[in-house]
Formats: sequence, structure tokens, C-alpha cells
Amino acid sequence: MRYLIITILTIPTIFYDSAVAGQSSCINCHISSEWVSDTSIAATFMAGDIHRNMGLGCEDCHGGDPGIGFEEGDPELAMNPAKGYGNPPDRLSIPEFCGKCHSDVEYMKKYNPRLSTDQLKLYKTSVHGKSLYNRKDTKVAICTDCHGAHGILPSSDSRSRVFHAKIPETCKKCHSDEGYMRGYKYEGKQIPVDQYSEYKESVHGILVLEKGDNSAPACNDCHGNHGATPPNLASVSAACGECHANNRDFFNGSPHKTPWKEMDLPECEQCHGNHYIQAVTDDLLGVSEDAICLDCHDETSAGYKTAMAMSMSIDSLKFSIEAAQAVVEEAELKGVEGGQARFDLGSAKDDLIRVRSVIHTFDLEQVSDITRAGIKTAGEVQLMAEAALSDILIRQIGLAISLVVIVFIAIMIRLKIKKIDSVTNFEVQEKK
Amino acid sequence: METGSRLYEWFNSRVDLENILKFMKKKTVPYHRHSLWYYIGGMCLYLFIIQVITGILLLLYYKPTAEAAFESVQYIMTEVPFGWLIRSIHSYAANLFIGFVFIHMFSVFLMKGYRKPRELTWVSGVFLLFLAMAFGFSGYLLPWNQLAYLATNVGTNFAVMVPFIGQWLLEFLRGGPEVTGATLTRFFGFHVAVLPGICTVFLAGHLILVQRHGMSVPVSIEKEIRSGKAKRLEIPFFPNFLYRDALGWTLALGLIILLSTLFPWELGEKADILKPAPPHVRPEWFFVFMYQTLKYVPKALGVFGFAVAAMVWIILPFFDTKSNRGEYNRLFTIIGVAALLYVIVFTVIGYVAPGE
Repeated sequence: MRYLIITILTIPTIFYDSAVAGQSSCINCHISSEWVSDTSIAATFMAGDIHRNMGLGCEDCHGGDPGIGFEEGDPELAMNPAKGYGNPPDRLSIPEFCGKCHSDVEYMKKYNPRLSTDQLKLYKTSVHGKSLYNRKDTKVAICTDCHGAHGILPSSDSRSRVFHAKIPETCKKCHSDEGYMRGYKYEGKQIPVDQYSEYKESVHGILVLEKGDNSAPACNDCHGNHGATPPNLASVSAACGECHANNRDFFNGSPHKTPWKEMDLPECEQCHGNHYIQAVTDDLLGVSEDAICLDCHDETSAGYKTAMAMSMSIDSLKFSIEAAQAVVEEAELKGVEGGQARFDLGSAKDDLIRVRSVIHTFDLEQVSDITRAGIKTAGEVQLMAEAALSDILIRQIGLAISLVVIVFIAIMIRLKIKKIDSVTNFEVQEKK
Repeated sequence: METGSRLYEWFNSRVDLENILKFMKKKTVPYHRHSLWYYIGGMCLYLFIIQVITGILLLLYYKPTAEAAFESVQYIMTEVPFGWLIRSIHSYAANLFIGFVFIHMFSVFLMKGYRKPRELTWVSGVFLLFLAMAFGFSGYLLPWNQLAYLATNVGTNFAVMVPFIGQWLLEFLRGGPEVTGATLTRFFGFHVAVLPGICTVFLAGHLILVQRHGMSVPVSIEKEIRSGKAKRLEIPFFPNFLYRDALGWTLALGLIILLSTLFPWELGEKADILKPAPPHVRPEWFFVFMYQTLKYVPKALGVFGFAVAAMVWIILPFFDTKSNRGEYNRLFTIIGVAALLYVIVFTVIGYVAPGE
């Protein structure tokens, strides 16, 4: 049905195309059910394939002569091996087939000078590419599995299978299929098929899939795309650090860096997980029930004390901000302009955000320096708001005094009116 | 004493003080059961004077640019001694002023105080109401906060409905096609220079005419006096009436200070051109009846209708020949009550009807 609709919709374009670009025997035959049983290939190609939009025709990939054959009623004239026509490539040869053009720097410059030409090279380094070429495993992903064959859209097109928010769905097709993935192993273990279901629930997945945030990572941002490979221990933090650069740098300078490397522990992943990364809370730090520091540090260790101290330091800053905020809100409720106080309190809140990143240094001194500054700012704001509150009291006392004076004056005026009215004759003598 | 007398003589020989004092001593105001409405005009004048004084004080710190306006008002509210009080008094008195001008106008209309020879007093008074509304509209934008920015955007948009010169008028008001810092500077100019200048002329004319003609006695009271059912009563303007005025002014001052202290006028958030408009943005309360009406009728038709209605309202007294003859004119009373009800009902609907 879908192909029928596409076919109907593209009929006018075909006529236009034939008229302008000359008769294409390939399209004329492949769009007609008289000649071929599946007209969808030509239809999807005509419906906006990027190659077609760039002016390429069937013959640029398949060879042959599109200028002949249809009117003569003999498709063999178009599909002439002497004119380069060959059978469509099989799965094993498709990467090389696409790479013919896409690895040719000079050729690609004509169409899109910014497009890289290393896809095939990268593919050969990927798990997919290695399996294809080394083990002749044609089940692995090849170009057409992700990009399509005749309806290829640029990755910037939201309908494309490689558009940022569509990538998890594209990878999922194979990687969530238990039967398809059976037998595929990584480091001797069966590759799991729960990546998508975990990612979907993760902070990144929610951003990409639900909120359409293209700045949050999809599968390819950590694993690569053409060179897709499971990140090893070193490259996990490198992948995270692409976006979380400060946290990466703080961690690299932290006392955890070397011992974790020696113990073969992953870096970011050790505390935050991989596909199922949840929004972090301050409870992860410290020695409370939910704290992940306790996974490694027991009560006797120095790390336990540092974790506890860092957590307390951050809690103190949070409490200071909350206390200041409450007084500012109370003052605002009573009518004091609190714009400046809110602005200043924003600086303490910035410190809180900053310290949540700096904890990746696991350096109590650095953490305390920031929390102290934030607590100081919050304290000043609180003092400012408290002063405003006492100012309100002074205002209200002033109001009470003013009202007493005003009411007194009003009573005096009223008495005066009574007095002068008593000696005034209101009656007017009409003139005769 | 000797010096005082000589000083009086010095001025008297130059500005004819004696004549002025004689006029003041002779000046009387009618006294009857509707006399209360006579004090509303004086209240309007009193609130206007408060506006002038507090406005001048605010001018000492206010900066009329998009970059500094909001911050300067914030500074007035937080740092300037009694700045919060001055600004709040300015804002509350402004609203009370417009409210009292409306009350004054409808009370004059319903008591037929506009009848011959006071038609021009009426005309100048209606113009003063329009000027008061223009003061309110231009002053509302000056703190450059988000609500004011949006309300000005909506308000000035109606200018394009004016035939032939609509687009020009819009750009003239805004200082360009959009509400920007140029609009703020322009509105500031209107608020502190152009409008006060025009207002002074109309106010002076209005007051001179009031002094010239004295207060109008309602038709019903005149009838009662003529038929002998009531006596003609008057009170001296100075000091009896003035003391009554002063009592009202003192109580009004108390009310304004009370409101300003307990509920200082809010500043809100700084205007951000990129921020989306919050739901249910509406103009200031004295424009709501018009704004609400324009939701029910085609905007161009509505704007045209208001323009016609305003012109008719101004010249209406010239057609009330019955009141001029001292007879009760039921039709004009119905028109006045209908207009008053329309303003009240549509204002209330504007506040209680769910926003679209």
C-alpha cells in the first residue's frame, strides 16, 4: 500500500523527469508493473533519494544505457553488459560498491565537499566490517542496512534512518533481536540485546527519543557509526568526555585515575553505568544508603571519610541556598523587590552546579573551596533578605504612625467643618 | 505686621490680589443631596498633583533606555530612600486618578452637568480622560518589564486598524515596526513632556471654565427649587467647601499610603523580547472593556466603532436640548447608564472570562 501511494505520488515527477532529463528507460520500465513485479524500487528512488536529487541516475551505480530500450520495447538494450551493466551487488560487496564513489575525494568534492570520504576505511575497522570481511558474515550491518538502498536520505532529514533521533531505532533492529544476535560474542560473552530498552529509559534516551534533543548522545556518539565498535575501558570515558569535558578532566587528575586503570575498572561507567544512565542526584555521593562510594570504600578507609566530608559540604551549601531562598521569598511576599537578591542567589546556585562537577576530582579541598564561596554568598543574600524583612517592620510602624496622624488630621478637619458650618447661612436669597 | 501689609500692597498693585480674594470670598458651591459628586473633580485634581510630584521625584533616578530602565526602577525600589514608597504612590495614585476621572465623567453626565453653558467644560473633561488613559498607557511601559512589554505590543498593534495611516501610526508610536528600546524612549517622551504639555492646556481650560460657570445644579434639584419644594442652598467655597475637599484628600492620602506600604507596586521580570507571551495577557484595567469587546467583533470594526463612540460621546451634550430647557431627559439618562454598565460589565468579563 505504502509503495502504491509513493508510486502514485511520484508519477508527475517521472513525467517531469522524462521530459526534462530525457527518457530514462530504467525508470520507465521499473515504474511500470507491466515490466517489473516490484515498482517500489524506482518509486522510492524518485521520491527524494539524495543521489537522484544530486542528478545521478540508475546507470551511475548499475551501469547500462538509460537512453535506449524502453521505446524499443527491449530492456536488454539498456541493460547491456557492454555498456557497464552488471548484476546488483551482493551484501558482501556492497561496502566496496558504495565506496567506489564515497572514498573518492575528487569525485565527492563535486557533490558535497564537506562530506568525509573515510566511511569505507572506518567500516573496515568496525566490528561489522571485520566480521564481513574476515568471516564473510553477511548478517552484519552493511551500508544499505542503515542508509537504505534506493531511498537514501541525508542524515539531516528527519525521515532518514540515520537522523540523530532515529539512530537508536535503526541499531535496535538488529541489536534488540535476540534470535538475530544469537552467537555474537564480545570478549567471550554473548552480546546482550537490552541496550535499546535500557537506553530508552536513560537520561540520554529520554532527551533524544522523547524531547528530540539532538545534542544528547545516540548510539553512534559513543560507539562511532561507520567504525562502530564497543568502546573499551579507556574509550568509555573518552566518549563521555566528548560532552562532559570538565568531568573528564577532573577525573583524569583525580586519585582514582591510576588505581582504577590498574584494576581494569571502567571510568565513568563504573559509577554511572552505560546504556541505562540515570539523572544523578547528590545521594550518589557520600556514605548514605544510596551512595555508590560505599561500593568500594568501607568505614575504615580514607576515601570513606572524604566521601562523607564532600557530601556534607555540598549538603551545607544546599541548606544555605534553601534557607536564603525561603527568606527572599518571604520578603517578596511581603512586598519587597527581591530581584537583586535572586540574582545574587543565582551565583550560589552556580557554585552548587559547579561543585557537582568538581566532585570528580575527589579532592575535598577543591570541593570545600567552592562550597564555602557559595555558602558565603547565600549567607549574604539571607542577611540582605532579613534586613529587608526588618525594613518591612519599620515600614509598617511608619505606616501606623502616618495613619494615626492622617486620621487625627481628618478628625480635626471634620470638627472644623462642623464648627464653620454652624455659623454659615446656606440659604440663598432668590433675587426678585 | 507693617511688613506684611506692605508686601500685600506691593503684590496687590501688581497682580490685583484684592480682586482675587474678593472672588474667593464670593465663590459659592450649590449644596443639596447630590453635592457629594462635586468633590470628585477636586479629587481628580489632587491625584493629578500627586502624580506630578511623585513623577518628578522618580525622574531623578529613572533611565529611559531598554538597557537601564528596568534596573533603574529596581534601584528606586531597593536602594533609593523611600523610592519604593514614591513609586508605589505614583502607581496607585495613577490608577485611582483614572478611576476618579471615570466616576467624575459619569456623574457629570448623569446629573446633566454638561448642559448649556457648560458644554465646553464637558468637552475639555472628556479630552482630559483620554489624556489620562494615554498617560496610563505610556507610563505602563516605562519599567520595561515583561508584562508591560507584551501589553504595549498588543496595545500598539491596534493602531494598524486606523484607515490609511495605520501602519504609519504604528511605527510612529513604536519608533519602528517593533516594540523596542526606541518605543521605550518615545513613550517616556510622551509621558513626561508631550502629554503633560497638552494636559496643562486642557486642565487650565477646564478649571477656568469651572470657575467661570460654577457648579451645575442637577435638573431634578432645580425643579424642586422652582416649585418651592426645596430651598436653594449654597456653601462658601472658601473655607467650607475647601475643608470638605481637604478631608477627602487626607483620607485618599491615607488609603494610598496604606496600599503602597502593605502591597508595594510589583516590578516583575525584565522585558525579554525572545520570551514567549504568558497566557491571558491583558492591558491595564481601564482598557479591558475595549480589549474584551475586540474579542467579539472584527478588530477593524471594533476600533472604528470606538473612534465613532468617542466622538459621539464628546459632542453628545450639544444634542441634549431637553436638559438645557431644565426638563428631565430620560433618553440621555438611559444612554449614560447603558454606557456605564457596558464599561463595568465588559471589564468584569475581561477579568473573569477564561482566556482563549
